[in-house]
Amino acid sequence: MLVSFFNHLFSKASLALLVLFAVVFTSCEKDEPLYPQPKVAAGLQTQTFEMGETYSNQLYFDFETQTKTTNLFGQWDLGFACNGTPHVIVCAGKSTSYALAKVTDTHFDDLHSLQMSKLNWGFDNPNGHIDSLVTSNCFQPNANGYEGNPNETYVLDLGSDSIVANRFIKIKFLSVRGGMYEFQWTYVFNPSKINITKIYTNPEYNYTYFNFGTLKTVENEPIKNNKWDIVFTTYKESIHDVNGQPYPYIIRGALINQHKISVCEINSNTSGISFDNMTKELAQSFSMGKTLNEIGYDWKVYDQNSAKYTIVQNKYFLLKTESGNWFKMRFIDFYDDQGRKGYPKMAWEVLK
Amino acid sequence: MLKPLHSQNSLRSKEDTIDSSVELINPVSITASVNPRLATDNPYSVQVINSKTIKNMAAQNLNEVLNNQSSMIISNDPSLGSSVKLQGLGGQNVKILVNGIPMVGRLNGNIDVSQIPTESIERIEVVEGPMSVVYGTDAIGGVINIITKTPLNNRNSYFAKAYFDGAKNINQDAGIKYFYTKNQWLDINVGRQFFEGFDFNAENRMVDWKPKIKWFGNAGWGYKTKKTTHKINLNYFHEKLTDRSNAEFNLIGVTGYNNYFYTQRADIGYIVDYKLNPNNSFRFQNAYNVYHREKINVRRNLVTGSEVVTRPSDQDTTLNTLLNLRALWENNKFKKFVFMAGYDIQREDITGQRIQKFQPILDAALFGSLEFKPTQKINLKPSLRIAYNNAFGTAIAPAIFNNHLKFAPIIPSFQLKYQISKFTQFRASYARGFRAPTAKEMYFLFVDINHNVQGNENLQAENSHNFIASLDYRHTINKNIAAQFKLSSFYNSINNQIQLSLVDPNTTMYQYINIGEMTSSGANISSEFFIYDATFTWNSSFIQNHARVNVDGGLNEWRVFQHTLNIQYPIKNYNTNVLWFSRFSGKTQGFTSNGEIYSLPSFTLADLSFSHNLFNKAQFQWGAKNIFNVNQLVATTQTGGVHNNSNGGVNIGMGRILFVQLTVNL
Repeated sequence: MLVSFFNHLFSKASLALLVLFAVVFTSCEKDEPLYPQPKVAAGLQTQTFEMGETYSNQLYFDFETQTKTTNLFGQWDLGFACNGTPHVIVCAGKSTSYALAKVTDTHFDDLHSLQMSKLNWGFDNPNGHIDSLVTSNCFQPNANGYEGNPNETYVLDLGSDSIVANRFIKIKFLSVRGGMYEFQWTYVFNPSKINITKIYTNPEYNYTYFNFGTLKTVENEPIKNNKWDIVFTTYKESIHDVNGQPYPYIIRGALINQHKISVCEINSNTSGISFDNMTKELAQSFSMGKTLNEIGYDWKVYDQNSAKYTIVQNKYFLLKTESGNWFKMRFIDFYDDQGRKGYPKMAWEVLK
Repeated sequence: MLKPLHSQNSLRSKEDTIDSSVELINPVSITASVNPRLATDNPYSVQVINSKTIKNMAAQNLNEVLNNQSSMIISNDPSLGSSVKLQGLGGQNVKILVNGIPMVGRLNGNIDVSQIPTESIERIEVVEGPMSVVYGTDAIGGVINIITKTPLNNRNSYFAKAYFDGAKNINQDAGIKYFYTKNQWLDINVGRQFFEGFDFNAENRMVDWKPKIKWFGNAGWGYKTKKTTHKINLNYFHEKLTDRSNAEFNLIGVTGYNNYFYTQRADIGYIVDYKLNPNNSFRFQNAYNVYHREKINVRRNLVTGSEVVTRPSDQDTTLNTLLNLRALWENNKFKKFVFMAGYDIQREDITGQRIQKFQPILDAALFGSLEFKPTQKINLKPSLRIAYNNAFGTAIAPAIFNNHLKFAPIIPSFQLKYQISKFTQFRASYARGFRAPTAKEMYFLFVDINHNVQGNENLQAENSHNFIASLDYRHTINKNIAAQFKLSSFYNSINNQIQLSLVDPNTTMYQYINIGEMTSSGANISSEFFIYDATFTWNSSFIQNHARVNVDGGLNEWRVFQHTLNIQYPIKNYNTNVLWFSRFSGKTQGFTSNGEIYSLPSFTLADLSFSHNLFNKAQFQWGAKNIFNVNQLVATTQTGGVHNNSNGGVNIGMGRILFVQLTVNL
């Protein structure tokens, strides 16, 4: 049977058909043409910041020494300024419900759990201006230094994922003397013990950080404030919805070290100067600023179609250090080689 | 030329030699029966698309065939392929069969009909309305039954076909049918379809119509005795689809992402037709179908060409198998009765990276019908299906069987045919339909940083009520002229409609839920004229849907008009046929996965081609597809937004393309 079949299969007619079939069988998958290597400017440097898919890390970077230092995000609750006008910041990026409320109409002792839902909860504007903090003007100067405003009590909401009994903490700032902050606090749901805590700051850092879980200060800034320029971290912004209403949104971006650098955002379309063509001479004509979130997060956008973040191509930054060095910097990716998000990569060049 | 209509018995003996003209006006079908039946005999309406029509279309896959039918709505997704709606119902509600055996492997609820090559298709039988009595779940909207070719008696033959078009489709098929004894044959076909991809914006790396390479083959063995026919079929299909993202340029390099989708289908079927005596016929169908789809996502360095597989959650693999054992018995001993009964046992397994629980779906059913002809003019056909299912239905003694023994609702149907006159028939039917939740709908789990999509073990089966009425007029005026007119309407009411919905905005959790009721209704007018060897066909259909599209919303309404005009005109002196196929689709409406209704503007697809018969051994076809140059349409939503693919529009066609096809038969 098989012999007969193969004789039939290889008869002249079938062979002719097979030849016809094979002749036109010329289509095949073509390799995708390779793209030319972009012309890399002399001196162009790149750096990836491994925040991780869950953004668990924050990374500090120094342009002049090209050093990168990493630690975990979210290990603190309150930060106490080590220089300049005393002020206090909160780590609002820890969760959506993490917030701070200023209370002026109720005394510290009279504030209780039933009032929690009525408080005006907020978070610090990440522009770094003291007036934009929830705790703005919480200290008033006097002859011995600074006194806490006696009419102000603050309530810290550690977030919905914290232990219920310890979730709400009421705080009264008492004084700042010689770099030492003093405040009293207790748990709103368990006010049996009033605590007095003293925070000793170090002027070589921007803030000294305190954690209400461990009741200890935390080394959130791993290096001194003259050793880093920007930090990739998680923080909270007020985003407006389609109706123009603001709502808190946790975002990932870069904040600057106001102590060390100033920054200017450049749009290559409106300025007419591409990243490649930017020179030191041109850079000096731009106005530099110290807004904390000048670099921020919106150098990337989320593309709904591809469900991926893409880099805004026409945006880059000029940076000027206190020592007078100029840099141009832009972002080139938000993913690592495995396609994991949370790995922002930037390229920069010293302007000479 | 046109012959009187065959009686059923004479038809059986002449199954292989039915005159093609008679077939046009009164085609045979085998869906939901053991013996082939003429359309005029059937108590339900069957639309038959024969191989001649398919060949004239130069259609390369089922999608291109169905695109010319006014009663169907075809959609194209760049990655998920082509899907079909019947009676306004699509996805899981349309059952696609090959020789009566269900296909498996649905993406987003749909079988990709572009993965079904046409070369081995003898005819396509479309039955609208629920066929749940015979085919069980998924047949609420209707059934598309693909009947493959059977070699003609003792005739060895070869064929080879080559096709090329301006959209960079290059296809080849070849096959051999060989009788090594008088009653035994082998039938082997192999083919390849290569599509380089088609893009409307060459500056983008992303391609609008994704490149595909398909390999397919089938081997059949048959053995025929006086009473029995055995057929074993092996089918294999492999497709590679490449989906590229746009290139991302940065200062030091260029990167992009590729998704590679590898789809494999492998089927084995053993079909036995046994005629015990002139009054008792049996059909046994035993089949095992395998569907495997793998998605590999890579990040590609577009400068060096190197690729790195991305994180595990971006990859996906699905394996879907179906074991189907079914049998039909038909008895027509009594002049006024045709009795049919059968069993249908199915086990479906689905496993995958995003399927959280391995739970086979078992379904065992008995069904039967009694066709009663009280007079020459009337056919009455009540039918019933009783099923056991391990996943849905009413639990029997739950304490003893631990909820593993469930009886699905009893599915009835009733069909009526009334011969008004020699030329005119009236049909009416009522049918219940049901669709059991799939394993994916119950056990899907895709939760990561960006996604929160979950199945639902507590889903109820969808069930439906369907009403159809139709009036047929078929008239053979003389041996050269015949005409057919048909007016039909339908109404479907579906309860417990299953839909993926946003159930928790706070956690962006999407879940399959029984969202509620849905109705579809419509009407169809069709006419066909056969004048000498020319054929003119015109169809118009109107389909309207009411459905809930999100959890909190009310019923939304959308509708569509479609018209088709098909002309086949022979020029005998030149051995040439002129062929025109066109479909006008009115403004189309639908809804997105987040419940937003969108609408597409109207468009017309039309093909004009010429077919030359060369020495009775070959056929050369050439022409233009999509001569009105339709490519992408912009879909607008009710809120004024647009729903597009990434490159700016919804894919309808690739623009006007020229094609040539050469088929050699020896």
